[in-house]
Amino acid sequence: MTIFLQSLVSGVLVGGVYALIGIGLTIIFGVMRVINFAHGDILMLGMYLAYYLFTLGHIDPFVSVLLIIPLMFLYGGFLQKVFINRVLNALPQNQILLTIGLGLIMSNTMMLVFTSDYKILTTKYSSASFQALTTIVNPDRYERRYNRGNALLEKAHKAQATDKAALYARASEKFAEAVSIHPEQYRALNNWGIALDGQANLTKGNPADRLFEQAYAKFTEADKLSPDDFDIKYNWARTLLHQAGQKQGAEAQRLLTEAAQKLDAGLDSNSDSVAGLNGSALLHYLLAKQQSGPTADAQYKKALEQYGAAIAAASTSDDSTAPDFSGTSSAAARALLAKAYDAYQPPFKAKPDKRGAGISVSTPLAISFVITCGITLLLYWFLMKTNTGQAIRATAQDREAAQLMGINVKRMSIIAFGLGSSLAAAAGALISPTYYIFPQVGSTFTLKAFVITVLGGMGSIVGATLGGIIIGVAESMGAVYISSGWKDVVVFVLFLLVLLFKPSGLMGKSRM
Amino acid sequence: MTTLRTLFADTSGRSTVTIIAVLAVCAALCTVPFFVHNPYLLHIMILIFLSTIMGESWNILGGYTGQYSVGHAAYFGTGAYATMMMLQFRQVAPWYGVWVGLAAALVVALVIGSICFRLRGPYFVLASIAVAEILRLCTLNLPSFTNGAEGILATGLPPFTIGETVITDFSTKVPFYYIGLALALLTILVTWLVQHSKLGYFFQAIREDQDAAHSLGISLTLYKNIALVISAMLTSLAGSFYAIYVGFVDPPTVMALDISVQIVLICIIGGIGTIFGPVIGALVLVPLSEALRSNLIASLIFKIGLVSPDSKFGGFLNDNLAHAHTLIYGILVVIVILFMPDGILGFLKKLTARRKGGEA
Repeated sequence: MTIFLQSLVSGVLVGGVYALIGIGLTIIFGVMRVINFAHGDILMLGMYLAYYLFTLGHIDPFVSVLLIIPLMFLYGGFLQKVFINRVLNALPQNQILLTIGLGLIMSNTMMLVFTSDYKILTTKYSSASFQALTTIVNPDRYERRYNRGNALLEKAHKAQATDKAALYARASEKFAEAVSIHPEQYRALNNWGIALDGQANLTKGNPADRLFEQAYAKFTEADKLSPDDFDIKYNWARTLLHQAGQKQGAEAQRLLTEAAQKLDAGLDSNSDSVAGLNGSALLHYLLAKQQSGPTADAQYKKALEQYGAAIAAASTSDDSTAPDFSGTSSAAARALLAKAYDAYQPPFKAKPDKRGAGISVSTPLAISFVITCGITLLLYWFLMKTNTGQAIRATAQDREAAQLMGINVKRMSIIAFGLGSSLAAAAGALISPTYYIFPQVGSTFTLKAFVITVLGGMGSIVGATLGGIIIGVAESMGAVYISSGWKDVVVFVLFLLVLLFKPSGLMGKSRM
Repeated sequence: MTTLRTLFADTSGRSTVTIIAVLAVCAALCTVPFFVHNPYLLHIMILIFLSTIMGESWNILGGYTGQYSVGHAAYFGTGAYATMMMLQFRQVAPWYGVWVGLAAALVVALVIGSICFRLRGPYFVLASIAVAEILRLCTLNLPSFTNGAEGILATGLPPFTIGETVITDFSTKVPFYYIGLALALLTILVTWLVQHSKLGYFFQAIREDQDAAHSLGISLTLYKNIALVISAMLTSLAGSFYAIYVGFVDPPTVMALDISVQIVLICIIGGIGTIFGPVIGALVLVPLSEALRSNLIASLIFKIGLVSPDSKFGGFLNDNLAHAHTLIYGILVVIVILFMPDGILGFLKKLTARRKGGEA
């Protein structure tokens, strides 16, 4: 379900840009009845413009769109006036070939000038993404409980002493539910253990011991599932320490020894964990306090060692070395360690929230989608409300009748081609932060533009908008559910099916 | 038989001159390898033959029948891949593999025809592109069958023998020259036969007005498919020839949209719907784009003294002009469409006609 929504959202976002490309092509086709094979190459020019405005002029591509649109409008008008106008009455095949030729000239000239190297426009946000709809549509029951449990754990840790017990209990509940859904999740087991430890720590006597035992069971299970995990061993040792704190004499000593063993075993493979080293130092210090004679001295020595290592690991500078405690007497060591650890409460190491179940949205695509929507709305307004827009629509409906009504058809054609070009170039600029830029990039987009326009119905703007989004979604679904190599095949098969069974497209009846 | 009769019935007056001229040119072409030993020149001649085959075969469908397929890379690629796969994966010599290619092209053409011929005009163009792209993507995405994006590299051609005698071991370009020449002549002959047969008139009737032709009892589906099959099989031959000549195929070089477009442009630039149009197209396009590719144009610019090779711009031209060899296709097609809608051949005909008219 998450995967489905994820591919739907990214498909719609890409589809918005596709829609822009398709609308450009459909306006040109609607007014001139010319299929513009140079459409993708005009888009490529837009990409290059955005690239050089960014690298040379330091203008963000989402801002330079505003510059590129009028610039490419003029360029499109020029193409129409100088080339396309001459073949408006020629065979449709010749019109197609002329645009193919123009496209070849554009792509090869760019190759001549900028070579065929791939260029990448890297902005600060090029690879950024954010999570959307995490809580609303999060369909994973395990994850919701796990994340909720984590939130409660965090809250309990910070809460007043009176609320702590209840919060820890609720966190335990959540983790218990999460584990019942996914028993193999060591993260939930680990955090459950922490929550149980939190509960146990706030109670006394037999109930506490039962809770501690439950926590150990969780840690044992988690450790079995993820044997190399340091955090689990650390939390386990921390829980043992807490239980030892409630006991006296030999019982406490046994628990502390066990905790030290667990932690030191974990530290072997994870020797730079500050919390781990501090915890180990604390355990050895506490053990030393319970003993006397040479055993105590050895424990003090070990505790000091870990203390020094913790200081070294905590320091941010690279060349820090552990302070030299050799030769320190046991009494001095005891004073030193008392100062450091008497009030020390080792923090727990909860596994973080599980992420990615929300929908990851690429930031540049999201921004470009918003801009696309803006441009499309402006375009609708222009075509529906302004005189020029209505004249363009009239020309698209019936060229001769429009001419008889006193519309300057040639001028409308120039405006239409200009509009189409500026839309394609705008799309190029909008996708430049996410796509490779090279002279031949156009042909892919030309093909996509055809598919989109035919799907929506040649000449229909609403159709092109819809077609763009459908193609975007079909591509991303195809990539997810079939494979990324076959996603274009999906698109082309869709295209053929529409051509064969509904050649007028989805919105074929209405013209613009 | 009908075809043969028309063939001979027509051999009078101007046609006799044309036939003698063609035979003389053929004879001259056959002797070329005895005088020209420069492999690069032979290479260019072979490319001209290849382009002629491609252009002529497209001409039958596009020029005579009026069905502008921009997906001929599908058949070119089919021929190239079939021959190469038979050679590399099955150890079948290319002169047998070619037949596999032809059969494959026939099947592909019938499938594509049954899909695309339901559509007309620009929709047909778009459908032909889509089908060719689907075929290319399938080739790319089925590595276990076609070797995918890696392509297929020929490790060597078996020598061509008749009985025990080795005719050629393909160590020079000369055998390729003769194969190319023979295939080019074959396609020209096929085109000529088509043009001068009833079939050709049906094709042209479909080109001029589909509905009128249909009302006269010409089955559109049947004759469009016949045109497509002839065209596809000849294109497949070109593909097979390309594959064994170059010795390497991969999807971008034999199946991409660029190939389809180039095939169309050869025909359009030379003159569409004429027998010698594609020949002219190949004669103009191949040397020009080769000159760009091999930096001849850049060195010419230096030789004339327009730009010094040591200057920054000169160095730039020297480095980059070779990459833009398809630029010439673009420029030529724009010029042709705007100023010579009937191609170079049509333009020349018009010029001579005007001169004759002036004299009279």
